[in-house]
Amino acid sequence: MSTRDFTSDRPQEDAAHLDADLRAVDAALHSLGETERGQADQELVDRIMQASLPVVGRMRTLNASLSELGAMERASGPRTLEQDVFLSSRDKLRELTDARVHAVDGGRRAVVAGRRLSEGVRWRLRVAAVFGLSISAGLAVWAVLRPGGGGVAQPERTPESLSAEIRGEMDLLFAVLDDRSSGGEPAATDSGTDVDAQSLVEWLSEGVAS
Amino acid sequence: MATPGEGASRDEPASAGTLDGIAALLQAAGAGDEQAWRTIVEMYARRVYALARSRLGGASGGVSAGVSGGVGGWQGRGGRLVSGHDAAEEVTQSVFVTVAAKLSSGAYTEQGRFESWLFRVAMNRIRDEVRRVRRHATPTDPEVIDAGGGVVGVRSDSGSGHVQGDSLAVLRSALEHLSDSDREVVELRHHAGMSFKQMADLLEEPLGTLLARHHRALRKLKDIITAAGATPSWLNDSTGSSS
Repeated sequence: MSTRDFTSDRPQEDAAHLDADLRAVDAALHSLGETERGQADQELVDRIMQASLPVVGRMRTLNASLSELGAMERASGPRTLEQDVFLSSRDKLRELTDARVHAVDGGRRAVVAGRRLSEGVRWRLRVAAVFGLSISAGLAVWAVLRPGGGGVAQPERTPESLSAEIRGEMDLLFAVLDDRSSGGEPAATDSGTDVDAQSLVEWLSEGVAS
Repeated sequence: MATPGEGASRDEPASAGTLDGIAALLQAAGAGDEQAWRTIVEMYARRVYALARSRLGGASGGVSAGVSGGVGGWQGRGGRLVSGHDAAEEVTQSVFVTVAAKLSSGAYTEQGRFESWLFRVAMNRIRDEVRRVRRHATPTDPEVIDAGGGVVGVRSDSGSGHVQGDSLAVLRSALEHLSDSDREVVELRHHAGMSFKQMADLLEEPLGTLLARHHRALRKLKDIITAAGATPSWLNDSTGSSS
């Protein structure tokens, strides 16, 4: 490995451009960098992993759904009403995916800081739960929200059953957050999982209906 | 699956592996492969953390030079005190959440520059945090600031509160007196462990310019340390350490 082309994978070997007296500073800085990296123990790396893993895992589900939507779009022949609803939801789904990422990030920050989640963050997390942990539930919600939709995509879902689904998703999400809120206040309490389906629908309508 | 980090120590640059290996990992992670993502986090988390920690509050307070609550690595944040360690962890988590989201949504396409992109994300996030902290800062006790801009308020790693001229704490403190531009070069190289070529790519500057910037930054760093009267042994012994 060259120590003269300044492109080595081990930067400490690239000091040829420095005056002799500065190489000592360079070496000391390298030690400082090593020391700082050493502050990040395995537990810290694991926490970083836990914070970001839901995004990776849940995206897998989302990608599958988007792939399914794409296949529907490419398919020839008349579409069913349900397929129409799914296809019309695709762009909104993408938008809400971004919202979910922000929500997860907001919740994570709140937990890291040991703060009780604000109601606003809780609502965003509810959306995150719907669209992050269960894409089918998210699609069902969207089917309800869609102008003129009225839940036609999955008529078997009632506001009550949706509420139960969402509550279950919330429990999962908050369990993840609670796991990593060591030392802080509980990530969510009392009404944090008490989802009112009608309120959710109203809030989502306000936030995403265009 | 190939694991580019195999055989390398944890904080060695990811390029110890092949670009193809990294590309495969990124593709797998973007498709939801949790093990691939875990490998990426293991490869880079410590380097991102070290970069964030240096800027946001090491043992001597980081970003908060001239900011109340900064000495000792604690920052005032909306009425709370958050340690430099916690702030760095928070930023690091945020960076990896962002990267995961970008990978998963297809917003990033690997073209052999993942590392530069990752640290660009990290730098932007760190800058945001620095600005946020400074907005919430209150003037510090003038006695805490050295009017001459020298190396002061250095605490030893043991927390004794005394300057230990022969420790890395001197360097930490001196770093805080560099300009953001100088500090950026030093921290990307030594804390993030990037090669100059990667830094040139990240900062979009010619390699020669970057080398000159690094040289100037180290010169200033040395001047700051010597002007403050700190004479760590590693500096005194520098005459014979040019190999």
